[in-house]
Formats: sequence, structure tokens, C-alpha cells
Amino acid sequence: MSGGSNLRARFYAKRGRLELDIELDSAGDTLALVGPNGAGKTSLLAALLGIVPIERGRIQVGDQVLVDTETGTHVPLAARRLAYVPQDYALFPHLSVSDNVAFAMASSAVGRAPAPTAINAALERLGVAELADRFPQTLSGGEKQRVALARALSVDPRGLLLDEPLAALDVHTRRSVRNFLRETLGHLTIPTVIVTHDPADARVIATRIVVLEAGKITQQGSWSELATRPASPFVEEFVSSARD
Amino acid sequence: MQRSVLVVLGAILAAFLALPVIALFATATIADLSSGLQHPLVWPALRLSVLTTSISTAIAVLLGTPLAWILATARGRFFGLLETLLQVPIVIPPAVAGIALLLAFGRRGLITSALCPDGCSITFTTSAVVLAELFVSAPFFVQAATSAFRRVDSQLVLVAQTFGASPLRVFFRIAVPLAMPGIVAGAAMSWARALGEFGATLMFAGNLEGRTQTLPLAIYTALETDLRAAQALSIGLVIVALTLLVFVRATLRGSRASWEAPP
Repeated sequence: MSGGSNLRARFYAKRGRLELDIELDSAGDTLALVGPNGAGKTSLLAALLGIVPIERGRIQVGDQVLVDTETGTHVPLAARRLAYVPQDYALFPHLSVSDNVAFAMASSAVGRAPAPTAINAALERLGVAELADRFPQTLSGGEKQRVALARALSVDPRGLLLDEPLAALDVHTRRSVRNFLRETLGHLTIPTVIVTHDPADARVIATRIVVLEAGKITQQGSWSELATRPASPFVEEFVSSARD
Repeated sequence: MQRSVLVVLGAILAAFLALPVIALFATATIADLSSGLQHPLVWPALRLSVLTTSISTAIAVLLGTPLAWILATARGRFFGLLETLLQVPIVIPPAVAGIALLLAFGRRGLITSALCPDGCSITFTTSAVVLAELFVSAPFFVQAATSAFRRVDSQLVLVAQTFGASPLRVFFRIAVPLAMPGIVAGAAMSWARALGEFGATLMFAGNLEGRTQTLPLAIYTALETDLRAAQALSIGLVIVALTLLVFVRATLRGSRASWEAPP
């Protein structure tokens, strides 16, 4: 958690009827992005990735400016080096686990085929080296999650964006994967944002929870801060639904 | 009781569709077939058909696959309109396609007079056969490939891009392999359409034995003198078409299962 590579975003964007007005600094925290349906959580991720254009503002990771509408800077999606893990993990079904990682590494390092040891190391890091020759559809949900993370981190990204990382898992695996994610993400030195609708995810995995309502950040803080002083009916409902 | 009314109505049409094909086979003996296939028109026409349809299908796949990917991923009214216009050759009568090709590539055609004003022409050449086949068959390929590309999960493409993959790399390594069953099926359908091409070829390329006389034109020509030869050729084409139909269905069905049971 070096303070050197924080995600700082301050921008205004429009997507259909949704207006996003964001001011956010990761400041070394693992962020959980929560909020009611339609609040703009996915749109915020899309704006960070560069799929949703920003009308004015600035996004920066570490000292790398990704977007600045004042200077006309706009780093395209393929050059942002933001790793994105969607809800269903998006493993390439026609490639083996190691080829999934090899594709990612070769894509980031212009035409250079990655060394087998580098692929193995990337898988080893997430404890999935023994799955190297398997194909995605033969993996369990938890294994897919690990492989997707291994693939995402193999390209040495500037930041990590996870969209509902546990939603595709059954209830039994969810708890162990949740703990695994806390462990793994806690060791990362890059800014990490997790979109979730599950209070348990936010409480266990994140060090700070960011509440997005109708395109604006209405509250942010630790779980206990949100629990003691909920700023909106949504937050009150959100924290209370996690109390067992 | 009421269902049997529907069955009878349906059976009438099914019988009508099946009967001519049955007649084609039922009225020929093996001896007829072998003597029919020895007709002098048969082998030059077969050779020409194989040659021209191979070329036209190859061109359709080579140029049509990128086009289909653009159509499947681009947004906006222009591309919707383009997609509709690209299907025009499917719905216009082949004779009209022949006229259109003459007006574009004929001796005084739009393109011909621009490219070589001194007068040159590809009409009545084997190249004209290829163009006619390409014109009527490529839209089938583009249509099939476009819908195959549309079924590729857009998240896979997005994730590939976040790794820094270039558009060409995404196309060749992700989109094409995932759409491959649809692309193969589309190529097969397009090839079948090219093989059956008659009207546009006749008008644009003529009916010259050995140069522009493909199998369907040979059948038409043989019919005037030797019904048996025409019938033998027809049976051959039906068998090819049936084989292709079974192949396409198997390919498309296999595509659903293949990611579930990998090698």
C-alpha cells in the first residue's frame, strides 16, 4: 500500500440520463464501491477504463495522468494498463489457463512472447499453477476467480478494477473467496476498486467504502464509520443488512 | 382433432417440397447416371465450377470477415444502413444482378470506363464468372459471420483491450477463433450459393463451354439435347448440397458444445 500510486479522479461525465460527478482519492485504501442499482457504479468503472467519455475533469494513477480535459490528455483504453475483472471473469474460453495469461502478457509487451517461467510465476502468485493446462469451463467459480486475478496482475497493471467479484459464486465458496480476496488485495501496492452490492464483501475486503448515489459520492469511510454515522437511508439499510 | 388439420396442411407443403427431389433420384438408374456423367459438357463444367467457386468463396472470406467484424462492433445509423444494403444481392433477382454487373464491369460499365477508357472488358471471361458468384454469394457469408461475431461476449473483447491488445490482435486471437464455427458455416453456405449461381453468370459471363459454363449452365445446356445428362448433373449437385447442409448443421451444433468439452 505505497502512497506513491494512488488513484485520483475528479470528473464529470454523462451516460444517458445518468450524470456522474466524482471526486475520489484512493489514498492507499482498497475501495469498495457500493450504492443502489442505477447509481452509476458500473459507469464509474467504465469512465476509469475510458469506455465512457469524460466531459471535464482529470483521472490520474500514481503520477500518470490518464485523462485531463484541460490539457487534452486522453490515454486510450488499451494503453491505460488498468486491469479489469468483470463479474463473470471473462476468461477466454478457447485458451487454456496458461494461454490466457500468455495472451495478456504478450499483449502488454508488444509482440513479445512471454517466457514460460514468467507465466508460471504469474499463476503461482495466486496459487493456481497446477491449473495451467486446464480450460476455463472446467474450472470451479473460485478457481476462475483466481485465474482471472492472476491474468489481470500478470501484466503489472497500474490499478485493479473488480466488478462484483463474488456475485457469480455460490454461497459456500463465497466466504472463502472473500477471505482470499482480502488477503491478496491487501498485499497489492496498486489502487484497487471493487464494485459490490454485498455488504459482507465491503466489510471484509475493503479498507474504505465509497457510497455512490445518483452519480455522486454521498459518503465514504471505514465500515464502522458508516455503521455509526450513516449519511443516507441507503447506507443505513446497507450496514444493517450485514449484521448477522 | 384440431391438431390433425395443422398436420395435414403442413404435410401438403412438405410433400410438395420433397417430391421433385425424390423424382430426381427415383427416375434415374445407375446406368443412366454413368452414361449421363460421360456427356462431354460435364467435366469442363465441373472443373470450372470448382475453380471459380473456390476463388469467389476465398475472396468472400478474406474480405468479408473483416467487414463482418466491423459491422458487428460498429455503432451508428450508417452501419445499420450499410448492413441492410449489403443484403440487397440476396433479395434481388439474379437476372437483375447480371444487368447490374454489366453496367458496372461491362464493356462500357461505370468502373470499366473509369479504369480503362480505351475499352477493355472482362465480360464473357472466367473472371466474370467469379465476380458474378462473389456478388450473389458474399452477402450470405457476411450475414453469417456478422451474427457469429455478435455472439462473441463483448466483455472478452473489452478485457483483451485492457491488457493492451491491439485491434488486430483482438480480431485474430479472440474474435475470429470464437466466431470460427459461424464463419465456417457461413463460408459453406456462401459456397453453395456460388455453386448454384445461374442467372447472373448467364447474363454477365455468358455460356461459353470451358470458359464460363459452370455446372448449372451445363445442366441448362444439356437439357436441350440430353435430359439424362442434365439429370445426372442435377443429382450430383443435390448430393453436394445435402452434404453441405448436414455439415453446416453439425458445425453450428458443435459450436455450442465445443467450449464445454475442450481437448
